Amino acid sequence: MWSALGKYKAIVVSIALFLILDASVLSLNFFISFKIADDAVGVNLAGRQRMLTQRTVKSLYDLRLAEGDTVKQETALNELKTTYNLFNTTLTAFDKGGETKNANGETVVLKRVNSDAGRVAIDEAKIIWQPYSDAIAKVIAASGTAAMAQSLNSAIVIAGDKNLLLLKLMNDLTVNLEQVATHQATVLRYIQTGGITLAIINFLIILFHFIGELRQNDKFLEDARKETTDILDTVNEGLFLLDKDLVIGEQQSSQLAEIFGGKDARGLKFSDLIGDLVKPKDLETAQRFVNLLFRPDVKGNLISDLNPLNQVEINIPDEDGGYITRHLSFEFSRVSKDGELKNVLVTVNDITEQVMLARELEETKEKGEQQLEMLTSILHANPGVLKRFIQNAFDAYGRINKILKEQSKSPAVMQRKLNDIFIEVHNFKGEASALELDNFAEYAHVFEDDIQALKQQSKLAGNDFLKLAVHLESLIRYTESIKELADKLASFAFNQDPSSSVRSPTNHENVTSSDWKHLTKLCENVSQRDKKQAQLVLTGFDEAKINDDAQKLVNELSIQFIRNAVVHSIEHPEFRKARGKHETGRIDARLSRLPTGELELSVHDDGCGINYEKIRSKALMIGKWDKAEVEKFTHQQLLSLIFLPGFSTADNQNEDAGRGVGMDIIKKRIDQYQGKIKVSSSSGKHCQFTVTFPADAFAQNEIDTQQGKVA
Amino acid sequence: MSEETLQVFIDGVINYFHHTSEKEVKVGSPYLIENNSPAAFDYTGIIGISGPYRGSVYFTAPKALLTHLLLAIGEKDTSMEYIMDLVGEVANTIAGNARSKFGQDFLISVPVVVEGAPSNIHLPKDLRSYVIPVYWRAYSSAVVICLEA
Repeated sequence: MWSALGKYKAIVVSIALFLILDASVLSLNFFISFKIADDAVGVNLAGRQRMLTQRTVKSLYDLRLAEGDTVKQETALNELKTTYNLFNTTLTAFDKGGETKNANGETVVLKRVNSDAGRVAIDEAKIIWQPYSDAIAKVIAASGTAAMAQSLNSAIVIAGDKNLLLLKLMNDLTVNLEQVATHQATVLRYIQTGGITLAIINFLIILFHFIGELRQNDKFLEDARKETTDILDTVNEGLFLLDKDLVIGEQQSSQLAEIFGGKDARGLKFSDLIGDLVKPKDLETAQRFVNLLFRPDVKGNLISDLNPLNQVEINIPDEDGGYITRHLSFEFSRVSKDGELKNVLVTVNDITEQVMLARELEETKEKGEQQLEMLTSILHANPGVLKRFIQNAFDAYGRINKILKEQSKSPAVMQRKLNDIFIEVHNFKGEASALELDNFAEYAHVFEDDIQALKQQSKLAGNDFLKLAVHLESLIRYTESIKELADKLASFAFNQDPSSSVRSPTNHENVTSSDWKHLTKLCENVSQRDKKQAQLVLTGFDEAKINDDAQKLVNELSIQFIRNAVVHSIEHPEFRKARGKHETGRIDARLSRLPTGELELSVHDDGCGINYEKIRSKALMIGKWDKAEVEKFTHQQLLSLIFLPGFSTADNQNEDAGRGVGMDIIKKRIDQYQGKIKVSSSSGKHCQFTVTFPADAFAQNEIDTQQGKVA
Repeated sequence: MSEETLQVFIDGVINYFHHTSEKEVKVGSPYLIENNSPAAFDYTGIIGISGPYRGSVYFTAPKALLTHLLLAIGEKDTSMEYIMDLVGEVANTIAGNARSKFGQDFLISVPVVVEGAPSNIHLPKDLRSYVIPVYWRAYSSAVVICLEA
């Protein structure tokens, strides 16, 4: 018990001393008060003794005066007896201590008078009183008038002689007893004053010593509290305690509010803190887990792996309607006191940076793999050509988006939009396959399939275009990745060897001869796919000084013409052989600047030429014209049909033909630049397409080259 | 992002209009915009999305459409406060529809309503958004979806 008081021992002792002091003063006070009360009785009775001396004398004289009157004599004698007895008893009581009667006739006890002056007065009074007392006793005892008169006379003589002296002695006794009483009262005052002074001193000791000590303790506590607060304000973790009801304690680290978007967690249930931020299942498991921690029979280290919030993603709504995503790690540790599990300390770590870093690494790795795959798909392409292709692609995406953006409820306009998008995609696909950029070509092919499917729909709504927008977005995304890679490659090549031929040309540079090799490759690929043999001879492409716009167009047209030549004109090798032709067909593509400044592109092949009858039968199949009308179509009229959208003479639909798009694109593009197209064909011998553009065509038609912008 | 995901948000708007007295609503042809120039009418209700896809979806409409729509749902008070509430309600319907379709994996925020275009905070700058025009009576509005995987 005593040891349990600890630092409070001193204060307990002080208070105990204070109480003992108070009790002592109080006891003395009682003691002296009683004594003073006794003294007061003494003083009173001493005063009465004075009065009794006089009454005795008076009774003696009254007795004498009553001589002959029996009644009066009797009264006076009784008075004398009473007075005599009272004086005698009281004097004896003062002298030896003993009982006497007070004014009310009650018995009181007097203590022996011990003071010197008091003793002197009593002793002298006793000497005087002895004969006086004897004389009075004789008066009282006298029988008969004569005896009475004689004893009375002798008593009166003694009274006359000693009365005043006895009165003085009794007066001295009274004064002395008064002085003793006064002295006692003074002692009492001193004791009280001393006691109060000691009590005040004790109080002051308590006040200064212990308050100082308490203050020091408070300061110590305050410092300790401040240290705790400083720690809680500084740590990077969110710290808080959970009680058995899973209620969060009052103290927590500042970082906690920061982690949970400014939420004040004090007094909240754990579920209220994280309930909205994690999946309900995770919350339930977490609560079960914490409850397990409060069970003493469960080993903490055995269940630590069960912590469902070891790494958890939370999404905190922000004021702008968005979410702040954080990755948190919750650690739960038991807090025991005297062997009893009191709380669970929860440490919340914001591991967003680590998680993001790991994710970034993962993404980088994945991107690296993707880029490697992409790199393989573009490595064969000339950087300059690739750059031009990418630019063309973005231009095409911009145009497709523009078509999508155009709003109309009219079915005809919707169909036209589909056609226009199809043309763009088809054109893009052509260029991609010419450059053997197979991924692009495949993307475009799927895109085309979806457009074709929509075209079959009888009723079109705006919503039907959604999948086209999704395709467009995917293509843009893919192209952006390729562009990023191509830019890196170009800058790498440039940094490594500025003189290298693979250097990316600027927009206004003329392309090098290698930039047209893809046309030769295209010819080979299409021939291979069609099981034909064809050789492409390019003339004048390297020499003609043309700007970027012209290059783009020449490229587009050449791709279309060469592909058409292989697919539609060049015959299969055995067929050619049977006709006496070389098994390998020849396609001559020539680009030249005419003396007039006009730009001329001609593509000539030694194939079967235009099959007018095939066009005629296809025209009949379409059902747009009646049979008689179609049969009357001249070659010129039939030729014009191949420039109609959706018109194809190919037997099968594949990557190179059969979509009925190609020649209409060519026509459209030529018109765009005010060009003219001339077709010459001799059945079974050859076919030639010649396109001529005015000298100033490309100067006036600046194409928006804003790369990558779709709006 | 798949067509199906986009369709859920579009259906959210259509659902809202279907609860009004004038149900006739048409969806226009969707297109893309760069986020650095967001498309917006007078008022815009934005919801934040997190989970497998992250980003924002917003419904934006001109004041005239919203005023007319308020009258169509029997509300005579067409003050700005009511208009803002209405935009928020449409955005809420989109959010509700998305919640029911995507389930718990998607976190969808409470709508925030702004005047004009959403700020950059809502739209990642280097991404594109899908714009889906929505026509109701003679008015045009739009759902704009910007989500990244």
